[in-house]
Order: sequence, then structure tokens, then C-alpha cells
Amino acid sequence: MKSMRSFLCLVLSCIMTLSLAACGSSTDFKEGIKGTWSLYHYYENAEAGIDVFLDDSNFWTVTVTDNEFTITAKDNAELEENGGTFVWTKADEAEVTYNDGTRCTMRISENSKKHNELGAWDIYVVETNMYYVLEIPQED
Amino acid sequence: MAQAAKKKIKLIYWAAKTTLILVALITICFSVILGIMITSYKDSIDISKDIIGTWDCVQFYKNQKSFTVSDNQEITVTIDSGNVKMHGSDNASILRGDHSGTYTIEGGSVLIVKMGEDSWSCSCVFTQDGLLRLTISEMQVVLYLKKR
Repeated sequence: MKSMRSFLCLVLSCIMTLSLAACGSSTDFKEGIKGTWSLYHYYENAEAGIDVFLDDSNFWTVTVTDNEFTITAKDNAELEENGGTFVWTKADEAEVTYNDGTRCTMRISENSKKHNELGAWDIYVVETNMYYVLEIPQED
Repeated sequence: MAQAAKKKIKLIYWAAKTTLILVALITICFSVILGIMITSYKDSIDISKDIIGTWDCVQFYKNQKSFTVSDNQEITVTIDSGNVKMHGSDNASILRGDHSGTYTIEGGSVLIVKMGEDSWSCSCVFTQDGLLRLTISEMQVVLYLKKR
């Protein structure tokens, strides 16, 4: 009887551990996206996949906090600052309002690192059908 | 023999007790989930009612480019029990003039709009601050509408 109990307890423990592991293993985009990222390139028209590369001297820096973000161009001659706020509507989707009042919907997914080892997150803008790749900043 | 029977009864008792505890736990979890589902269903948006009214377009996307509707332009969408009217002032960037048609709701949040020979599917989403986002994929247009 003892061995039977032990076996049943083991089975139950395994099921509970696997359930917890399944819950915990999904990517937490809300936390993952926070930080400072480099944006060197994006894809115009997601389906067509046309790569657009930003000049090395003019790449963008994207800083994300809990509900705000700022975009800063590196080129001091044409310093362009932009940013706004966002509200999460799904685990991987947020409603974004830029500082000038423009709205859009963004979806986040993990970068496959297939083309770029430093790629961290893919940001898909639903309305414009564009992908932006947020990359881990390189040390100067 | 009596020992074995005792052990068997003990095992059956333990199994029954464990099963009862598990059933009770599952019932509690199920009730909580059901409660949350019912509450969120009650709070959820009823597209058929909530889209009714006159909406001013504040921003739109045409061919993947964003445009803001300036103050001297007017783009309005009026939705009223099965009928839809779109109006764009003469200087409006899109939808100039008056367009009327009918609509039916499909799949909870998609409007099938018929205007003359044209038929569009418009997906409706309410933003957190109450704007209506209307995506007309056939026209590559996304409208952000604010209720008047």
C-alpha cells in the first residue's frame, strides 16, 4: 500500500510540476521589452520582407519603461526624438499613442536570431505592416 | 488474511479520500474560472450595440501610411441598426462625399458592409480609451473613430 501511495504521490507531483513549468515557460514580453535597445533596421511590408538598414551613424535607440518609450536618433545633426505611451491589451499586443497623438497597434515576438545574433525582439506594427528589430546595444 | 483485508480497506479509504479532495479542489478551481468568465462576459463589449452612433475619424491609415484628420476636414461614420453612412468633406483625404450601405455582423466583431456592388469586411476593435478601430482590409484602410 505504501508503494502504491508513493507512486500516486509521484504521479501527482509530476503533473503539478509540469503544469507549473508550462505556465512559467511562456515568454514575459512585458518584462522582456523593458530596457534600452538599438534599432539598426526594419522590414518594410512584412510579407515582402524588404530590408531597410539605417546608417551606422544614424541608428535609433529605443528605451522602454513600464508604459512609456522614447526613440532617439544617434546622428546629432538631425537629432530626432520621438516616443509615447503604450497600454498592453494582450500578452503580446499593445496599443501605442505617440507624443503627437498618432495611434497604432504593436505586436511583439521573440527574434529568431536567424539573421542577427544581437536581435532580441521583433515589433510588428499592425496598421503599417512593418517589422522593427530591437537589438542588444553593442559596446563602443 | 484479516491483515490483508484491513490493508485493502485502508487503501480504498485513502483512495476515496484523495479522490474527494481532488474533486473538491477541481470544483473550486472550476467555479472560480467560471465566475471570472461570467464576470468578463458581462463586462465585455457588445459590438452590435456599442458601434451604434456617429463617429468622427481622428486618424486613419491608407496604404500603410498614417494620416491625421485636420480640424478643417470632416470624415464621419454613422452606424444605425443595420445601416452605415460614411461622409467625407470636399477637402477630406479619403471618403469624399456621401456613401450609404448596409451591414451585418459576423463572428462577433466583423462587419460585412455592402455599399452598392462593393462588399467590405471591417473588423472592429475598441481601444482602451473608447476609440473604435475599424480595419477595412480590402481598401487597406484603418480608421480610428471617436464617438461624437
